[in-house]
Amino acid sequence: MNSKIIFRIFLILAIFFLSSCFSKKISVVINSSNNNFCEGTVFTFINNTKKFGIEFLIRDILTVELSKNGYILKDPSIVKSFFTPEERIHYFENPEIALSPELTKRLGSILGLKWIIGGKILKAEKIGDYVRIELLIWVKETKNGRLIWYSYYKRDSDSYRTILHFGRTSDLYSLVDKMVKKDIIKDLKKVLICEKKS
Amino acid sequence: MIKKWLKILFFSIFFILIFKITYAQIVIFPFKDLSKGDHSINFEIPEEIAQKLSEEGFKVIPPKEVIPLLIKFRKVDFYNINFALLREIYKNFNAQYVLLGSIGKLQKEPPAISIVVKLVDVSTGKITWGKSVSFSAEDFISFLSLKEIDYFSMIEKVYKTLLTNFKEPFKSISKITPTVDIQEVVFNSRYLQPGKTVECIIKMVFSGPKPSFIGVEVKDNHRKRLIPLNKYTNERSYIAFWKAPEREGRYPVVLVVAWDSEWKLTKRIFIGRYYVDNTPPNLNLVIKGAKKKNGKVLVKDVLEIIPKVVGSNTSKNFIGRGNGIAKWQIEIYSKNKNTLILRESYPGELPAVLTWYAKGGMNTLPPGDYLIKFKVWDLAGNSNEVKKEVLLVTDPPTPQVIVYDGKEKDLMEIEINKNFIPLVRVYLEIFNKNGKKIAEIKKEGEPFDRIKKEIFFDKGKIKNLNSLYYNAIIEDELKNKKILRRAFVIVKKAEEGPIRPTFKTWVDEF
Repeated sequence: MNSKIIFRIFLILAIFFLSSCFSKKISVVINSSNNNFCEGTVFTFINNTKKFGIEFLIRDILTVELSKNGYILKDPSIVKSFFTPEERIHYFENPEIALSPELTKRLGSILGLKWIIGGKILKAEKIGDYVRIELLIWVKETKNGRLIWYSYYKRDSDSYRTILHFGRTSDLYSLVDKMVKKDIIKDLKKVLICEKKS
Repeated sequence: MIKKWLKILFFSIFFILIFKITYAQIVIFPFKDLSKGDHSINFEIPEEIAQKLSEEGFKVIPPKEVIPLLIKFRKVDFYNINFALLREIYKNFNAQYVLLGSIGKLQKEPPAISIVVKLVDVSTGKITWGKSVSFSAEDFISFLSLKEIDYFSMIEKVYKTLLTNFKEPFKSISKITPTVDIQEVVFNSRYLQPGKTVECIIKMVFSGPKPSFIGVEVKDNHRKRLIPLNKYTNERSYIAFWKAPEREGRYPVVLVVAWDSEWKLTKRIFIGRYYVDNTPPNLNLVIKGAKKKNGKVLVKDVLEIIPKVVGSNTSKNFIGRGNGIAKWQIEIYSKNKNTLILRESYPGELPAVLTWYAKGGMNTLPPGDYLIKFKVWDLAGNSNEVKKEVLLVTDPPTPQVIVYDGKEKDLMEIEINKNFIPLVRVYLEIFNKNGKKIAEIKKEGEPFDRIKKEIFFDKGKIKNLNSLYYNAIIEDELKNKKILRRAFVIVKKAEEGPIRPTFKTWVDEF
């Protein structure tokens, strides 16, 4: 009898802890037939929130993590130095539409890039100890300048909690760090297939 | 045996020394501190990292030693690099790598630190190594929260995590190619008419030997041409001129820099495009909510004009940002007096709506015919003009109330058809000379030009038709209202009138 109660409690606890591991995500792969997606760059995300700096941090963490995973990344500032002055202004004014297929193709051919990653931070907030982030991330291939993948991520303080309160994140930057390292990189690796990758 | 070991020891020391000499140097840039705003930089953490790497035996150039070069290179943002800067780093410090870093958070209480560092190869601009660390207090909470971490312990852990397994890739760069960094490109105009002179000024910085040729490659109607760039106002600025092609279209401009002899290198960099446009903008003037009659726009007191560039002609296709309009002008002429009464000219895009107040304040205009001329110039200088005739009506037409005098009975007709603007409401009362109301007419609704109404006056009671008068309230289609008081009725012989008594009238009379 006791063992049954213990088993039930254990089952409820297991469901409770496991539920904290799941997060909302919508991911769409449009077309990814190329298996030589080794070289690319990560552009600064568009930040629609008041949390300044998080857009650069996401870009840098993504760059570093992709580099660790064997991808060859060009520094985004070097890539942007190949924008014409007019394109630089246009990109500064309206980054969402400035990266045209024509410009993407040109960057690809000059610098040997196969893909460009970018995105938009939709929400980033900290209320007391509770933090939350929502973002969109996309990948464009440079062969045709087309969008090949995009995904939506929503994470909060409890997204990476382990047992009880351990692992609960109360810092936005730590949450971003975990989200990139644990989820985004994993998803990107499925899209950016690099056979030459060491 | 000892000799053999001594030989091994000697060669080991020799190789270690050689390795140390050729070991890649790392230049550490000041870190971008995002926790303090857009343009904040941090020296403390990169200096500490430089110190720790030096202690580990790496050849490191600390941030303070790099600053003079960055200032010389007019680089205010230490986080944005380009090939010209990387080449200068290599040339000045014999360094193969640049360590860049950004700080997301640097908080002392409660401690929280976020740092990302990356190592960039100066010859390729590729990221060869990187690490990100993001620590907050809860990452170090021990069981039951018995011990809390402080900022100084945390930053030490950050350094340790960042630099653990830091392996500078061994690399020997034999030569690094000369490069150019374009800082600014200015065209006299991006939009030109055929045959006009294109002027292009390029501000650029070279790193490496002096190029043997600097020019721009432009495409003509049939072929590509190389136009040499000449020194302009200072050592960084260059200028080139050429004639725009005859055919309309968009033309790319490519910077060509060549290094001969030792390098045999040519760099071609796309710097922009210009547009040849010979088509005037297709302008359309929309008059908002106005009535039209016989090709004229009827206006009471306010006219709202919406100018638009429409259609799919070439000018429209060339539009860049905005609507491609460089200047616009509006002129209003009085046709009655044959004079110009208004001329306004503005640079830039077309206005969404132009409102012309004919009445009110200083702008009160007499009613009459007016001509509006609207002219636009596109960015290439092509122009187009549209004219609109406007009839300003500030007063409703006065109707003629006519009574046709018959032998036994009188008929009345109200004529308003001589006026231009139709009426929408008429309320009319006819009085005899004693002030007694003898007839009443009401009509409203759809615009009308004429009211024909048979009214029979009793001859026995009304002796003199010439003494009839009327009061009326009338309103025209433009909502102009008029009140008429004691206006005389016109009397005409029944034979002159358009109204003949109907069969029913005669039957009733009989």
